[in-house]
Amino acid sequence: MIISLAACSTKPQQIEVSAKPIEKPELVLPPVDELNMKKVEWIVINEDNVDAVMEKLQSEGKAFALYALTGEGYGNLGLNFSSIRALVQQQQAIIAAYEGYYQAAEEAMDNAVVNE
Amino acid sequence: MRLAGILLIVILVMGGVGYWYYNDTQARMAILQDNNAKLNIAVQTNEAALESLQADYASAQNEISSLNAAYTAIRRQNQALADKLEKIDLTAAAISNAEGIERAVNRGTENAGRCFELLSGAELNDKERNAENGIAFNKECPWLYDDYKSRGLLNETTAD
Repeated sequence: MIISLAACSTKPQQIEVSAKPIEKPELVLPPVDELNMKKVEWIVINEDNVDAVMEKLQSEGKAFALYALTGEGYGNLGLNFSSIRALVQQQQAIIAAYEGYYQAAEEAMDNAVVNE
Repeated sequence: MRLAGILLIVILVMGGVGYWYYNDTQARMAILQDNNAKLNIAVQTNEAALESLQADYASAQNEISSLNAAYTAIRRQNQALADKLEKIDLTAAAISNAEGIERAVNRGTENAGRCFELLSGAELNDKERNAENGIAFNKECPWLYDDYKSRGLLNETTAD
């Protein structure tokens, strides 16, 4: 009788559950330095105005030494700058996406902890 | 008398066993109830974690969609200059109207530089703050106008 009464005499194992959320320190990064673009002055020279430009520069006390671009070269320079600007915008969009995702994830996590 | 003594011992033993069995069963039931409560909590935690993961997944999909839309817009904006330059023969323009094209390229260069300054977070100047449309804002990056407007950084009298 004792054996039959104590058939399941071993006590069930007590489960220990531990769940402690760990607060991640907030990452606060400094903003990028603001750009302050230097003035760039283009001088367009053709066969007709080259002498006038030379005289104007001399009258202003500047030497007649210019860095030249062809029309095509100028166009390509503009396109290169436009591409760099697009790259900056894409990088900003990526950063905004990361920010949006992690803010949403944090909110979801906070809600989960509150529900728990 | 002897039989009564034996019966008394049997009754006492049975009573003792019954008492032990009762206590043991109660203790086990308490543990099982406790386990059940903990398992319920674990299930709730798992469900919350699953919901959180699902929300994260939806959020990731949303950000990817937004990013793809932003990329499309940026590529279109970047193409605008290429389209403009295709229509202009810069060499011919420089021959026919050197002064005019000089003013135009200097203005364009200044505007393009200003676009970089704005992208780096520079404050708007009065002309930009009072601009009535994207072209008046900056011919080289007129799309920034809508962004500033949506953020309420332009003067309220500004109209499209």
